[in-house]
Amino acid sequence: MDLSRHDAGRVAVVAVRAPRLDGATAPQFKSYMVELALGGAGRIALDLSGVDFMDSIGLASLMSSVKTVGGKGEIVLFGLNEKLRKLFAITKLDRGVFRIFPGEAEAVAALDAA
Amino acid sequence: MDGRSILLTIDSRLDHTALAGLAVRGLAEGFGLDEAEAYLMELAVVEALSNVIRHAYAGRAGHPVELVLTVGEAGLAMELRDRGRAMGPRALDLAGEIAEPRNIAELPEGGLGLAIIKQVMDEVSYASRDGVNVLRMAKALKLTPPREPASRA
Repeated sequence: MDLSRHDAGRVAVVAVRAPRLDGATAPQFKSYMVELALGGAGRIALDLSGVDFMDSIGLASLMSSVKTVGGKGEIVLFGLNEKLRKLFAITKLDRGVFRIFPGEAEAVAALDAA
Repeated sequence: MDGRSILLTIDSRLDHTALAGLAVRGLAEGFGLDEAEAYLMELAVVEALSNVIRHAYAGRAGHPVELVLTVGEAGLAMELRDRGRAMGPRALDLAGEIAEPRNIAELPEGGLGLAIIKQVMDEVSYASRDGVNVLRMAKALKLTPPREPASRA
């Protein structure tokens, strides 16, 4: 799993380059995100365009990241394929918990305005 | 379910669930399902396997988990067999509708797997007998056998 970060103003943009965010890769993703949040990053835009498959363990790692960020900020998502969108719809996590945007520009703009 | 079956065995490791997932995806797409439908079948089998590995085998590797995939006129059936700790008799019933979380504190920490399976599949049943646990999942699907190209779009 390859995780990279660049900053767009006050927003940390994190790209997840892993075909699968599942039981095998979620622990590494989770520690990366927790470290990022504990290091002070509050506005995080997560680029999931490199992820083809995700399951409930991947979702759980995302949700603990949200809890670590807590009230200090927000994690928004962009670049989801149709399958990932389906997963968020099935689990109802696209209704208020995660704001989902088509691309980086929209995600960063939303966090800048927040 | 009537039809043709294949038996796969994988080791009880979370980094092996992708093998079964990709096998199911390949089968589903080979039988004419679109990417999104195939994903849901892959998701269901990965969730079921992860449950077995994490709960029946407490995350320990070295235990074979069997997966029987059956394709037929009724659709796709997937049966998982393990010899680990059985699920509680009400676990399936308790995994109900997925509630819409109202705030961060309400986010579920886990236990989404069974609820996702129930949502995605038409039939889900579980039985534990003589030390063997069997989770059976079935979905009515219009499958197009790969040997009948005339019926494909």
